[in-house]
Amino acid sequence: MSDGTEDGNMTRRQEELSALVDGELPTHEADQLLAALTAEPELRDSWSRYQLIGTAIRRGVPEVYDPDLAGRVATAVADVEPEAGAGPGLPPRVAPATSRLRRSVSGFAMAASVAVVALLGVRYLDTPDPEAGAVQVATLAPLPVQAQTVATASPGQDAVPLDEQRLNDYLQRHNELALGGGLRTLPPYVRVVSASTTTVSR
Amino acid sequence: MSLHAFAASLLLILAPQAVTADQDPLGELARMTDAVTRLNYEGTFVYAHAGQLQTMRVVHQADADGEREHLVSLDGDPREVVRDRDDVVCILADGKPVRLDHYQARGAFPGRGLGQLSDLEQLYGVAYGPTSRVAGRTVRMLEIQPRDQLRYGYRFWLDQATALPLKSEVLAADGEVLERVMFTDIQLHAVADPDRVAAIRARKAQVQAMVGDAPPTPDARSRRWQVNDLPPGFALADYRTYPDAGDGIDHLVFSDGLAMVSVYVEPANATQPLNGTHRSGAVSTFALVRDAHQVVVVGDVPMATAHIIGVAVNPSQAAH
Repeated sequence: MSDGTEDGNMTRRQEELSALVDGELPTHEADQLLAALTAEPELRDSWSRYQLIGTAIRRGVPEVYDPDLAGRVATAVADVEPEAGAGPGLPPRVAPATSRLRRSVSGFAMAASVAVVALLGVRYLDTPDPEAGAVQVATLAPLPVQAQTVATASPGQDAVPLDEQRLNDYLQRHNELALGGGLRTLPPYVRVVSASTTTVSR
Repeated sequence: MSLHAFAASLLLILAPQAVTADQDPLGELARMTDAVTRLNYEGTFVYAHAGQLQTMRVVHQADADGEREHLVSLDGDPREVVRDRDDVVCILADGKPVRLDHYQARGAFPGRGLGQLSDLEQLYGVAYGPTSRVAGRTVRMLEIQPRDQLRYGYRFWLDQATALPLKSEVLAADGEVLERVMFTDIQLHAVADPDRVAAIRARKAQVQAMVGDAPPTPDARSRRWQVNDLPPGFALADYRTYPDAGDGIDHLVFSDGLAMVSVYVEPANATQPLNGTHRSGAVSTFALVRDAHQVVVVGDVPMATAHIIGVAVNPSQAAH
């Protein structure tokens, strides 16, 4: 019975929301959406549901320790681009993510079941991309040695996903440092206040 | 000299400075930090990170007496942070009021941070971006791009009139926005409002009355741990020891001037060691066990950086 246009509008908004969750909404659109979120309760409800799914993503997919990480960092250093850090000018602007797994999967939108989510979750492993090896070379020279150290110290089979609950104290103390650092972004304590939702949503 | 001629000559005198300021995006960072501390403002903003979005309201008052601040969450559980100069109390999601200890360590970052802008420039490129509007005000974007992949990029949309950041983003190398803060409305006031200051102080006293013991005081007696090979640009900014656990927790803080990384070292829990990685928005966490000690690295940096730091934690050679 409801107005079709309004429905269509809402659907579009929800698509935008899911893109926002994926970090794929262009900045200006994200701004408009965020502004709309503060004004439209209905949209806020949708957002809350997406957040729940987001939580499922984070909990459902074990963020296992990746024993290959150290090796890949070492490779990245070895394959470093010659021009990295060469000039005083800005580094070339890296194009926004275009061909990542997550992008290709995002068409499923957030109605995605946890099965799809398992794919999405891969993106949450924040490993360096070996192809984008613009890491500064010289100062990183000792890295491969360290890399071996950690590979031995933390064999993959002993790895457990980090429990957010147990990390909270560490996160909290880190967040409290916000004002002590050089860069005072606005507003301070945002993370302090925000981090606490992690505790409650569990 | 006519008034017009005087005005014109004044412009001639002032113009070069204006141009200099315009060509100094790095200095703009210092201006921004100053604006956040010194101005009187009140507004609503959204904070988006790790697939979550929260709406918050902030009131900031600064007079000759110091800074007062009140941050309140508008959705979810009521949460707030109240600050009366160096005293900070907060009510977190569990409803339990706590007092933050970090202000005791204020000034614990000598020589780091924005004091050394030239150092910063070796790590990040800072440039102006386009002009646009946020919360109804004209802003100019300041883009901070890391020169390597060991740190994140930042974008600040600074109010043209005051340099207050009305919007900010933390970006991964692939352009993914990891964290975003944006004001949807903001009011700026020329002077602090005594009523608002009084309200903040009253609320702070109220919360403080509910707070139990003060948190354990960090001390810097012994430096038992060190990081041998830090990523370029990072330096030790602070070292504290919390007496929490039996043997205490050592907390090392590293900064490259923008990003901050905490390293915690404590005796390992033999049955439940933490081993692995975790990422939430712009915050990476990497945990490993080393020399029967639990090492946890938490930082606003890519996981690789947390990793590099974590595996280089060693007993301090300077320890006697």
